[in-house]
Amino acid sequence: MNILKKIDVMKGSDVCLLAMMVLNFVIVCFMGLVPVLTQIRAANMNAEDFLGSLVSVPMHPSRRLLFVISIYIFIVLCIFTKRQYSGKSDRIFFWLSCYEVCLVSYLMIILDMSYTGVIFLIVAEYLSYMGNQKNWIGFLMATFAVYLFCNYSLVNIIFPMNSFDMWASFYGGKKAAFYMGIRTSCEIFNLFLMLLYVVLTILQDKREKRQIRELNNRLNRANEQLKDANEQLRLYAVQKEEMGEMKERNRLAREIHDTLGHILTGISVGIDAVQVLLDIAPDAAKQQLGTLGEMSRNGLNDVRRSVHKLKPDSLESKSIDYAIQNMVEETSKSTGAKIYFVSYGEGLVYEADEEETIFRLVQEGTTNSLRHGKATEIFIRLDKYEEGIEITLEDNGCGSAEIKEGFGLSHMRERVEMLGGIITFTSENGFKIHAVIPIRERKTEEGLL
Amino acid sequence: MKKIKPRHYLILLIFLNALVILFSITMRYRHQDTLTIGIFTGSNWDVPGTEYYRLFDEAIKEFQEKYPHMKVNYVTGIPVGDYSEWLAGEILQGREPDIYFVLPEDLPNLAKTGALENLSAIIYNDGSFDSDIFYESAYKQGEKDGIQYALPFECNPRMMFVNKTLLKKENIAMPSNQWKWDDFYEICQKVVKDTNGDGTMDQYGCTDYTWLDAVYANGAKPFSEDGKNSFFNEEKVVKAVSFVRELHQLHNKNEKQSNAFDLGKMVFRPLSFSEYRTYMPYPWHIKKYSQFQWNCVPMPAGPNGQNVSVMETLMLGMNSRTNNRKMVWEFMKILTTSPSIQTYIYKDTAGASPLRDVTCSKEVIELLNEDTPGDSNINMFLLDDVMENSVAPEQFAGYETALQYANSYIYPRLDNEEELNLAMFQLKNELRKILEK
Repeated sequence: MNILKKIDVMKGSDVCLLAMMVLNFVIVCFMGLVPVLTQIRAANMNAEDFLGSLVSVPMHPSRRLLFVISIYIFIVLCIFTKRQYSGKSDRIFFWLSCYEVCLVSYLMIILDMSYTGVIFLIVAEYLSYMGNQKNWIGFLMATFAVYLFCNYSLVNIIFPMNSFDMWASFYGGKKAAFYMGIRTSCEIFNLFLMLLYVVLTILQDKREKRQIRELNNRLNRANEQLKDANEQLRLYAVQKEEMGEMKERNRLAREIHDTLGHILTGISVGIDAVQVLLDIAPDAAKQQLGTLGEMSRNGLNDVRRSVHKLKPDSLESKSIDYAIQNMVEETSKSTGAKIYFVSYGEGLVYEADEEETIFRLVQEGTTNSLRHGKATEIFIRLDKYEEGIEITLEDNGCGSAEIKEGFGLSHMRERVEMLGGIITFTSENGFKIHAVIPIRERKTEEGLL
Repeated sequence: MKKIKPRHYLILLIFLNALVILFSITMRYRHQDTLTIGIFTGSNWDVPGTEYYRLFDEAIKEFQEKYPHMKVNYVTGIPVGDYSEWLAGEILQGREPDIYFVLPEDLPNLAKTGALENLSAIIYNDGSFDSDIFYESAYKQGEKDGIQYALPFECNPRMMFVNKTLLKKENIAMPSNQWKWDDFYEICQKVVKDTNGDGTMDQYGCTDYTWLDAVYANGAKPFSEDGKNSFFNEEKVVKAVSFVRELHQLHNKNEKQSNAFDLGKMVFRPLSFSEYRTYMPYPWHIKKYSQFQWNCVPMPAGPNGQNVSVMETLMLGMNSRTNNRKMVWEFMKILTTSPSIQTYIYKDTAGASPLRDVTCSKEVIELLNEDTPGDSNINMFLLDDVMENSVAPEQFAGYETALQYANSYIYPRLDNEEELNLAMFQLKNELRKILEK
């Protein structure tokens, strides 16, 4: 709606400017044509007297007409060109403006300063580029000053020129008055159009300001709403936090009830039974106490597991390299075999199942080497390999002439193939396991950069 | 339809602009190697027998020897009476010739409107041009408000013709070249009489000696140079008018002596050089001036002045809108300062050359004496003297009107005894209204 209104007002001032262009063309042609026709008429009668009444030699008639019309066309063309360049290239715009001023000055000189209303045309045009109202008034004042000093009588003092009245007076009497009247009417009409233009432009300016104010209000309202929404969101977040806490508490309670409660119940019942049995059958009581001990140990394990579930194990949070290293060290210590482990897979991020597979593969492979191959040295290596990880495990054991996939090896293969990996077993100088497992989310540190 | 881009507007603007500039340049340099001259047929001094064509053809020849690529055309067939009107029409239509004749009375308007090129700057920059070769008053006639607008081409000084036969008959000696008003008046007084006793006067002293002649002879002038002021109340002017009145009243007031000089019954008559040139030599002298011997003297000097006479000058001016100032100037110089060309003034026209060297040359003196019949003669040193001491009438727009007004005011007063001081003061006041217009 607002945009439509805007176009409407724009059109008003534009139509006004266009009307000024047309009117000025008519006036300029008229002002050019009267001297030209008079020159030609006077040349054939009364030339000497008429020339004596002039103050300067008039321009060549056809040249005057050509110049007046072509210069006016240039001015109009310049106005259109400037419109195209406004806001696009300040430099071209500036030079076009200078050119325009030169053209207008030249046109006024050719018209012997008899018509200076063209100034208003370009003033109107300049106003359309001026947003700031303060500038505007100064500019208007300046142009009116220029207009005041550009009149024939003042310029004539320094540069003698033939006035329009001189040309008109050739015809004498009513005809002269008619020509001068036409000129005056045209000038007044031009001035009127100029004023209309100014009024329309001011109106448009006001309308735009009002629109801006409206938009501003709307923006403020939207801002308020946004603030409210934000507050609600914060409250919701707090609520959600509280809810999570509650949930966790419930889960803890259930966990305690499920494990500790169950075990303690069993133990307390068992102890009651032992109390009874202690006197009747001490052997049975002893056996029962053993069972209870086993049970409590199991319970303790369960509690440990629960706590572990609630609070992530610090060891578990460590990387797989650390886990393997731990495992290797422990194995090495208990068996006396030398196990070498290197990893070039730092930075890789594994899913839980991938981690499990790798760990189990290494663990099983090590166990196999020690148990079946009687190896004294084992080499383990983790490598980045394209989209995944490469695991190599070699030993100096006796290996086997024919690899028979038992439960351990087939289990390994199953696990690897489940993740879309490949595993091979070779036995040359010792036994060798080689596996490649694709990693789904291979976020390296380089990749994150 | 393809979208019009800003660049297209700019290109169109520049293209059209270049087109117009190109057009103006071609217009400006179009006829650079062609000069046109504006001249009239007949004589500016209202005498028959003047032909300019040979002079111009010779000048063109001389010009083309120096500048072979130049062409010169001249407009022919404009009668001298229509010339000013024709020239004004051409100027209004922007097609005036590059060089044209400037009549003294046209100079003020042509200078005012800027139709004539300001020659002062060109003269200043041309080291080979020396204005001293011209008679001063002839050269000055082309000046307006301190600016030289035209160069003198042909002059027409006024001289006093004396009927030697009549003087001899009355036993009066020829006046000297430094004669004064007193001498003039005395001779007139002696000769004015009724010879056959029929009661009407039939022998006269002088006619056509105007108040203007007297004003200049008495070292005064009627108008200021800018035409804004008149000096009729000045004592010298009043004295001059008073002398003319005395002279007028010496003759019978009611008689007209229009052809008395022609018939040999009058001693003095001021004539212009062109009239002398036309009517004295063969064949015209048969019709006029054949019954007496005559001689020439300068105009008589007033008590406050010199033996000064009025000289009119026909000039050449340069069109301020010419395409080729340099060539026009060169051609103008040939026309006005070349002795061989200026000699044609004496050969083909009734005027006198504004060049001192030409007027005093042996060739010209012989040429003039050849034409003069019988004992009558014109001493060429006298011509030189007269031209040297001549004055040019003031030229300003409205000069003719003012002069006519003064004539119509003064002539009726020559017949009565009115107090002249007061009358002249009144005339000045009346003229102020005319001059201020």
